[in-house]
Amino acid sequence: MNNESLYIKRRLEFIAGLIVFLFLLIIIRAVDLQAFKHEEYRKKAERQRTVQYQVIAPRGAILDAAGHTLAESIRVPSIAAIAEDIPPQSIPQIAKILGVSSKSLYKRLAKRKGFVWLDRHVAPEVATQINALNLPGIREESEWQRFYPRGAEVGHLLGFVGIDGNGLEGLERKFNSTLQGQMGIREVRKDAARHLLPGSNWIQSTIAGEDLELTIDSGIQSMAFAALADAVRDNGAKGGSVVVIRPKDSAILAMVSWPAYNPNNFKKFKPDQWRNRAVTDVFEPGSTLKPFTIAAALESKRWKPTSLIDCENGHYRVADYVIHDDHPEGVIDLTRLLVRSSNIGAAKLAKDVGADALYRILDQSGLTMKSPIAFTGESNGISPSPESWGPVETANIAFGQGIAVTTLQLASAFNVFANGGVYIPPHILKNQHNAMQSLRTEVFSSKTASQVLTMLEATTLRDGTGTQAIPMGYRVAGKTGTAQKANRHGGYAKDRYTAVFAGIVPADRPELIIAVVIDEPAKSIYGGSVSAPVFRNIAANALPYLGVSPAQGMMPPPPSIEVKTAPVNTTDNAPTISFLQLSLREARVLAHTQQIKLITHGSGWVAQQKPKKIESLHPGDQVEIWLHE
Amino acid sequence: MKHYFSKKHPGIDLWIVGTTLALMCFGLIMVGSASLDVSSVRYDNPLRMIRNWVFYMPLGLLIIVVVSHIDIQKVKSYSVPILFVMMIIMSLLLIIGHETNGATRWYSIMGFSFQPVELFKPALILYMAFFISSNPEKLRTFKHGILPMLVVLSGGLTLLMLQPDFGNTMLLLSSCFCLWLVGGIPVRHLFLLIALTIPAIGAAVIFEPYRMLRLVSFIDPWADPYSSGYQLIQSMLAFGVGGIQGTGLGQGIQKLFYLPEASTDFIAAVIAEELGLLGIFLLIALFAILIWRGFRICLRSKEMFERLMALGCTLLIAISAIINMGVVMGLFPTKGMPLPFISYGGSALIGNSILIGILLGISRQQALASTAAGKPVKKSRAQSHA
Repeated sequence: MNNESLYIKRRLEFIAGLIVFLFLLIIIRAVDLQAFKHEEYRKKAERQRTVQYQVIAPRGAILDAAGHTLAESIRVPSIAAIAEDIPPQSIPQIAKILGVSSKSLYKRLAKRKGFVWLDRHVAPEVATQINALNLPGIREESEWQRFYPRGAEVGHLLGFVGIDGNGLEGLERKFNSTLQGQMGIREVRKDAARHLLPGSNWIQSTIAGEDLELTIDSGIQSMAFAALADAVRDNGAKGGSVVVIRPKDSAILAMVSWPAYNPNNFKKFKPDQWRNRAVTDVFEPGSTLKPFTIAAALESKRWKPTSLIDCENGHYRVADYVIHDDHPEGVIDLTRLLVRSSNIGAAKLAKDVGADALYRILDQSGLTMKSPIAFTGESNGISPSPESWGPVETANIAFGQGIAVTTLQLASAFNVFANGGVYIPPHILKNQHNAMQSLRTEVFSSKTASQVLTMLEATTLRDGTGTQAIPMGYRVAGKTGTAQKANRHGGYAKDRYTAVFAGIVPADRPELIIAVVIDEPAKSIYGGSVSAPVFRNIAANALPYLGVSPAQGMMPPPPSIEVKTAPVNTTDNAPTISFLQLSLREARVLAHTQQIKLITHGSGWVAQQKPKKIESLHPGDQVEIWLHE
Repeated sequence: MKHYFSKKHPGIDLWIVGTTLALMCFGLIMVGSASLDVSSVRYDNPLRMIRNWVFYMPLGLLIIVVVSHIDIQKVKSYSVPILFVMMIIMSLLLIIGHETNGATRWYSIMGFSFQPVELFKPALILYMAFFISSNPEKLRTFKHGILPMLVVLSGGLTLLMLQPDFGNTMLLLSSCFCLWLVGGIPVRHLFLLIALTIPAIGAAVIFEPYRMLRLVSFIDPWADPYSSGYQLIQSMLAFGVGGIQGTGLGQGIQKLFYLPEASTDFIAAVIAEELGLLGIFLLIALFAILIWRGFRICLRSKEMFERLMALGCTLLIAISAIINMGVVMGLFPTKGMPLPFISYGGSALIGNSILIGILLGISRQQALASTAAGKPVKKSRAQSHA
């Protein structure tokens, strides 16, 4: 009995030992899993539980000099999905809300695994409806959409941003890294049924992009844009550009181009319209380069503003090439040379000072290289080096042929005259003001500068070419230019011109440099009649806006606001029709639409019509028009 | 409760009472944590499983109290008819039972479902204890000793394998083996049995490919992480994520449908994730105490039937716990085996309550016997609480 109970005790102990052994095994395994493999398994579990996705940082705003917003990022909802997590039976529902066919949505989800955008920048109602479905694998994601409150006015300057937040054109592209900030990575947890769990972590938080403060003055930008648009339309031109800079520090106050586009829906426009012509397109400056030739002559000390020069009555042979003047002159002084814009006089001066001296002036005035801003697509201009200049080239460059510049280059070069002979490279970022001051270059003496300035003012007076540039009450120093456009074959196109005006206003205390370039005007080709009025238009608005008082004894008319009233009701309410100022083609179109019989005389633009006042016309009536060049 | 036990029932094992209550409370808390989300998705009512569990727990306590008042010696003579009835119920199950997930383990009556195996297990233990203690002399022979028990066991296990329920098969096989070892079956018979069993288990594994797959996947779950290894990987990840301290009660993520049966078979993984290694140690400690007290009752038994009943009840709980925890930690192949008193499930709670009731009843009988013999063994502890 004692033996048996010992036997039983031993066997019970054996079983108990087995159980203890198994428990120890379990404890060891638990310690192994929970203490030693903790990190490894935690990471594995996190990987299966979490979905990471990138979050675009809010892009920095672009502000004008006064701090007004030119571009800002606005939070808008987008619809994102994890393709394989979306239950197939809910696809028609989603498709209905997104306004697409369920077939195409099904295809899109089948095509890719993982993260996929279903629709971006949607209306808030769409996001609300999607959220209400509470489906796995689909969620609202907030994104940033770029908004340009001033629209087309700043389109070329600012450029635009693609849907993924990259600047694609203009300053948006140029300063993309500054504006963009740093993308963040966000992590969301989900359960095994693929429902997203509340709360999310930032693996890497977004760093908001920096704001960009420009030297642009939105007011002047608007004025320049409106003036350019009017001029292009009125002159039937192909395009154009205007740059306005501040003489003191070469800050760019306005930069506009035409044709324009709206950066808020840039996709609706042709890529050709996106081009910021003020910096990407070059033109032959023509006569606007003559002040620099004169400056070179004055710097040589052999010439004075009163020095006389023979302008050969309009015909002058250089090597095997004959130079013509539009306004033939005999022996005149340098001021008169500039006023009458004599090519022959300029060519003779250039011949005298030599290619190197002229090139130095052009080079140091910034006409041979792009600005330090290096705008997206900015051109260097085209300027052959002086070693390659023969007598013909030197003569041509003296009056602005055989060299090509951008509107920005021309404006900042003209600043040299306003700035006492010192060139300051243009800048567009407010904080670059000081950096630019250190890049000041003395191109010529302040005496030369003031002499040329005085001569430039003379071109806008009396019988000068730039009389149309003068805003009431202010003095202007400027120069017109009309250059034939180069054709594809290296020669000049017969009837395609660039009309240019560059000027400084007020001439006595410079506040603005304005360069206007109109590309292929159709009605008049001359800088004096096409571009100078644009200059006047901008100056007349911008100077009072800046608080610049008019010259003494030259009171401008009090600013008035024109209020358009409803047209007076004429007897039979028929619109009045005028053919005046229309081209032959336009006149024919108008006549056709009004079902009027048209009798035409001459060619060019309509100068006269009969009857003079067309008040009531009936189909089949007859109108006679006379056209003049 | 304690007053009731200490006055009228001197010597009832308060360790077992306390540990069982602790396990049940632990289970209630963990089922609560694990089932909220599953319930709200599956039944559209997050509290449904907790509500059921709160209803089952007093039922379990009632069963413990009632069974502990039954003198096990008086049940001894009914062991054959009880087993017979249970065998019939188990056989009928294969015909009219409710099939879920490819296994027929449930009777579904009036919206309630019941797993008869939970009653079959105590019935089989009762029969084995009765047979061994009734014929101590015959045990030495193979024919009249182990063979009849082997036939009965094989019948029962065949019914289980037909469900199929591999986990409970293993549980009953190992428990009976221990009963025979302690009951006095010659060791050579047991070795013969082992020699026969191992090829049988091997055959069962090979002829049922899903078992083969489970067996392989438990060795290297990462080989097929999205299908056969998936459950085990999710369970092991839960352990790993929990670390020493756990993520905090209710803070687990693995229970959110990553774990296949978070509130039943894989509840230990939820404990591991939310309460960490400390929670697992607590769990192991509670079971260790229960098993220690069970063996203590066993050792104190003066009589074979009582001893084997105590051992059988203790082993059913101990081996269930070991299999469950071993499975969720990837030590054994995956089997559907609930963790006693912790896993959600009414049938298992009722079955386990019967086992605890039997243990408590035996401890009470032992105390009464020793008091009668003039040796108040258990008195001191019991009265110190009064």
